[in-house]
Amino acid sequence: MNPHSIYDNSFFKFLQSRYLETFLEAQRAQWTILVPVEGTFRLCHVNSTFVGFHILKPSPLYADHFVCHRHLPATLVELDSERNVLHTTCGFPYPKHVCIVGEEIAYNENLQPYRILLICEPIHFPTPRRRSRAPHHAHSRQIRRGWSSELDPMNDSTDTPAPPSFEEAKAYLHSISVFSETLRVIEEKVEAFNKTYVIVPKFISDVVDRIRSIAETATQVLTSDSTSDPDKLAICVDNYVSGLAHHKVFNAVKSICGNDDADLERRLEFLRLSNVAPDMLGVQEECFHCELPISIVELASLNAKYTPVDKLWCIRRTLSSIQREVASHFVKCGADLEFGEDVPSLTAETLIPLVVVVLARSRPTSFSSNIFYIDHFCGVKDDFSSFTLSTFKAAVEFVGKYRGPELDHLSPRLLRKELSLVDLMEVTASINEGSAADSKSTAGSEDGYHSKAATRSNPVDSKLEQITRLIEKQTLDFHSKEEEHLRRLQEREPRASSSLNSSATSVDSNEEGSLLFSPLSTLRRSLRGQSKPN
Amino acid sequence: MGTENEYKVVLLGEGRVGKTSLILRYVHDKFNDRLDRTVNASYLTKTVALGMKRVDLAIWDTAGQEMFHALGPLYYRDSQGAILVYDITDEDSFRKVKNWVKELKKMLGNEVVLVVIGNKSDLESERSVPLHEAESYAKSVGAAHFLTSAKLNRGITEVFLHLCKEMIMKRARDGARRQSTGAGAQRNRLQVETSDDNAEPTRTNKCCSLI
Repeated sequence: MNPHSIYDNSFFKFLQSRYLETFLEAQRAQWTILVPVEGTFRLCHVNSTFVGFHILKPSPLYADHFVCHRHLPATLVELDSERNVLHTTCGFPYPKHVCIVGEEIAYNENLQPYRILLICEPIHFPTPRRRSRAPHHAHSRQIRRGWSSELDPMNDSTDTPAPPSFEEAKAYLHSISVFSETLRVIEEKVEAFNKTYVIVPKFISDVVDRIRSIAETATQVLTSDSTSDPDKLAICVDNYVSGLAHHKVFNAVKSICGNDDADLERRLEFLRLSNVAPDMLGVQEECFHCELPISIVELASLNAKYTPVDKLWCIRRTLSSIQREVASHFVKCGADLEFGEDVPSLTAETLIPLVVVVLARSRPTSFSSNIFYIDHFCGVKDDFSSFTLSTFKAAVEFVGKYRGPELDHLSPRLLRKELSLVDLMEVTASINEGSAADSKSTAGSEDGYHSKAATRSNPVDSKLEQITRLIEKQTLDFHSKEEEHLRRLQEREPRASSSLNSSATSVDSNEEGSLLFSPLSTLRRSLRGQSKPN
Repeated sequence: MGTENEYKVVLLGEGRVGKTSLILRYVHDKFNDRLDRTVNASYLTKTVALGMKRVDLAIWDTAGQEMFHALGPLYYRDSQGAILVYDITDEDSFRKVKNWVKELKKMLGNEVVLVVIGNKSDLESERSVPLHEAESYAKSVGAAHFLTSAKLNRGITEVFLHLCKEMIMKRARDGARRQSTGAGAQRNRLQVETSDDNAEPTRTNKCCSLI
């Protein structure tokens, strides 16, 4: 339960049940209802006086002044709208300042609005106050920022506990001894399915029904066998059965989506090699140009998950990580200060390219299959799960349709599975032309701009060239260092000098191309030869 | 959607018409820190109390730029409400709304409650979409029309209140219709069974019969 959710709040629920008449009266009169954050009060303290303190009627004098509900005529509460604080003034034993965490506009039966304010703690305890064990300091910290997870859906969504994974479900089910016989039957049934069932691509819904039927029957039997929570049991059984049938089903899905997977993988590889960054995909705001390592690692674990539910939660966590990493980067780079009131938002236009970047860098294999698998085999999905799935589908579509200038100029070789001889020759010729253009431009001609364009037009090849140059340079450095080292050794080891001279001569006599030849290893060999008894 | 209280609402419209500002205004009211607004404008939730009813809205903001247009179906699928936003100072954005309505009608039929919004009503002096034209168009497609200003926080809660009301009513109507059709089917089935029970078994020489 979200402690910042007004609608899940036990006081608010209590108000709607035990004090329904008072609540309806407040609704009809459009009074303001104060709801203390969950955990800052105990329900045993909630009585009619407590309720009376938390329903505010507007004062006839000032707009921001309120009086508490009946029984408490002499009270006065002031609302400081700028600082989001309520000040208790008259009628309270001592003045108090209570932060407002959130506000909701609700409507009565005549659809007239009234306010519900979520406050960080009760404005007054009618009984001697005993602090609950709730983590009040944590709340206060959040409240100082004005943070409200009730109104922050991603926090809300990510706080939703993940269902037990396949391994957890398996461990849980096997930990209950009365289930052992039923589990054996389930395993046999799934094994029979794995061995005998022929998956026909056009009838994938039949596979879904089969697996669901096995899980449902098993759940019914297991529920009657034990006193375990039926919902938890159903989730565990569902995940367990899906996990047992995973290899068969997922392999079939992979064969169905094979072409899509291959195409997506090539495109993602293309993007990865071109060091795709958010700005290349149209993300304008620099504050969103950030590294997303946690998200990449999370998504990279997708194929290690054995059930559709586990896979769904993997992509859910990835999406949430992206949002968290962006938020963190945003704060770190001081963008909130820079933008002031016009804070840019992470809209779908930004989110989809960021997901594409994560996809490209995490290099997931069979991603289209995974999406198909989750979509068809996950059963009922809550709204954030649907949103996650849609966002990833949108990202896949985006990759398929993206025609950015940077990508258009890349060599087409990665887009094909195999290169024909003709293609190979064409590509080689284009590389040669490119390098020729490079060398011309570096020769000091007026074509500095063209050289840059050429480099930009083929970043993969230029990258490869850079790498080759780097390796050559490092090999030369290494070689010279080794020679230096050998010279020193030669001075110390007069005996080894003759063999060293011969090896050095052999190195010198080599062509420059054979730089990987190591004189040190020659020396070692010669020393080893000397140490051998004659 | 998971439960009977949950409704999916999708925001559609051209880029820069103020879709994101609208939902941020609606969901993040003045008592919420602006820092939180930096993230997650693409999917927001809001719970609304209507009398004793609770409505959980999942609001999906879509990408308005043309390059994302093809992704629209992924977002509006299974939605119960659609808010089509145009900028009153931009005639082209109103044309885009018309395209979206066509597409929604084609793909979802009458399954979705439509609301057309003319945003940036604070720029009335620069208006290029005539109000009567927008209103009559909305009426012709069975949608309500509202004028809003995300900048001045004007007219936004009314939009969502109307949408909630309409979606609740529609769901109730659909439920009642389903129930009556189900009951009708049940009645028919029972009648058939009764007649079968009373009827003499028909004799046929054919070994297989469709009846």
